[in-house]
Amino acid sequence: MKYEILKLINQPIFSTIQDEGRIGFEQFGVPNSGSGDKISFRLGNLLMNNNISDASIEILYGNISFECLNDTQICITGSDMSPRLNGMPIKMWQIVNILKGDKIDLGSSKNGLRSYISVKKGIEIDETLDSKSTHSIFNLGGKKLNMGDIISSSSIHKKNNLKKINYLRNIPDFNETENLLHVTKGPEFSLLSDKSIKIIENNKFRLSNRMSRTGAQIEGEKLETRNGKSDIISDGVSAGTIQLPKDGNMYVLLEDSQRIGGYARILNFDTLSLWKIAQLKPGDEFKLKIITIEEAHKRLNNNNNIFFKNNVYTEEKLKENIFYIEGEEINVKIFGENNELIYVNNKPLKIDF
Amino acid sequence: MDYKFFDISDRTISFNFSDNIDQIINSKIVEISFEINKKLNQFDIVACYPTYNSLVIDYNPLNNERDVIINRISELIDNFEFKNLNSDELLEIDVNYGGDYGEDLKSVSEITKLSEKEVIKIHSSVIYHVYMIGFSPGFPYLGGLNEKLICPRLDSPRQVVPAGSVGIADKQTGIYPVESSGGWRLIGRTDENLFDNNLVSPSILKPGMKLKFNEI
Repeated sequence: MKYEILKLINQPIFSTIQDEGRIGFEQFGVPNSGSGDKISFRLGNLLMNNNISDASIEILYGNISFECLNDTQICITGSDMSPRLNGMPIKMWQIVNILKGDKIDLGSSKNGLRSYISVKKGIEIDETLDSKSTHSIFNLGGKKLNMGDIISSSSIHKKNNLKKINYLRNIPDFNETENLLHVTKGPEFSLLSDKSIKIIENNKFRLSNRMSRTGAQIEGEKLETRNGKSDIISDGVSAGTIQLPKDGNMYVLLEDSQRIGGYARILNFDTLSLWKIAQLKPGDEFKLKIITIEEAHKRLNNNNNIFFKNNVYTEEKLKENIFYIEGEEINVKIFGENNELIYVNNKPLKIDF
Repeated sequence: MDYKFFDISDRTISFNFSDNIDQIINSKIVEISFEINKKLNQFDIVACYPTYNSLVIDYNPLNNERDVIINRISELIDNFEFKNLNSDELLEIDVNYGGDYGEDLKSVSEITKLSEKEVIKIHSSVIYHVYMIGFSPGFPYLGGLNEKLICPRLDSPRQVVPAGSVGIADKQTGIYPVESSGGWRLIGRTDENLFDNNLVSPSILKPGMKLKFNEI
């Protein structure tokens, strides 16, 4: 079944449908795409009792309005865009009941760049190459959302049973501390001059307004290679790879980027920092800290597994995994089909970026 | 085969087989990549693809330690029995050269000091090797361009390159199967559909294949 649930009633700046991404078609030149801030995206699905990879709406910058076409539930996570339901403020990071005819408005982003709207059982659209993720340039998956577009899901929630609402008591704060982003050394790190390495270690950098889901220029003091060369024989890159073209400005590849690049790969954001940079806005400042691959893996392992695995979870498995995170730093209340309390953990959510 | 490995990121490793572009080495990398892609689950890796001279492996560091992945892939490479797959598979592609189809044929002719006719003749008389697919869905990096046709990229890339455009850049030639931006010099266009979302293997061209352009 397919239920129409939301209709866009204004023209958003840049909003798309995203899931975990398009994996396994790299050898055919297909970018991975997928949600940028995987923590907010996955938490939204977790709160909705969805599969952790179900498709959601990714909203960049904000300013988007919907009319509700059915009674159901949604959950808004990520950047705070002051969401309102029929003009009244609604909470993020928790299930919200919506009724046919309701109006949902998100304003401009107060912190961070991206919000996610998860819907019951995920957004229903045809998959392209095993994924619903939108690549707006290559027209893969969904499309860039426009006024009048209708969002459907494969399930709706008719009963407004307040007891069954999941919420997150302590939400992640993206601007908690100074932005310190962790990077590992890329294959061409050794091409950098000593002066450039000092600049990387000591200076502040800024995200340029030349940014999209494909990548972003990083502003700051220019870098140079020892021999002045920045071209390489085109080779593998991934989201988070920082390339150094001839002009000396670092350029970070993001989720919609191709997987082959021709510029020196000097650094790479580690997975946690990649998800954090996905919430930085043009103009946001940050410092870089070079760590080893082992340290990057340790950082990943120190945080909760459930957010980071690429596996698709079935609902049953999801419940198992909620038990699995007991004793960890997650604070999610989950109720079962018969309203029984399945899991409560009162420790605050702390994600160690 | 000798190789080194590099961490591209905390979840991507590159096994590098050469510092140069070499068709024989590339063919071997392509064969290993095909084999791994048949057994992604068995290797418990996320994805694998070939480049000119590397084998790129995506893995999930929460499922497998890096060293385990490196050992698993190294073992496969060290014991690999090459069968020289794909070496005879030739795809011929009809191309409309010049005019509105290849807006840069004129500049290529000026740079190379060859007539447009000569450029077309040289470009369409070679059998090219598909080294890798990248840049955009289905885009083949083709090796074998005659040295007389070597041209630099455009100073500023085009915002829109029409689907099917055939281009030249440095020692390479390639085809843009889908509309995208691009900085290669466009010399012609093909009607051939080289990328189809509905296929399990959506790129018609695959690394290791041979390709020839025919002027129409």
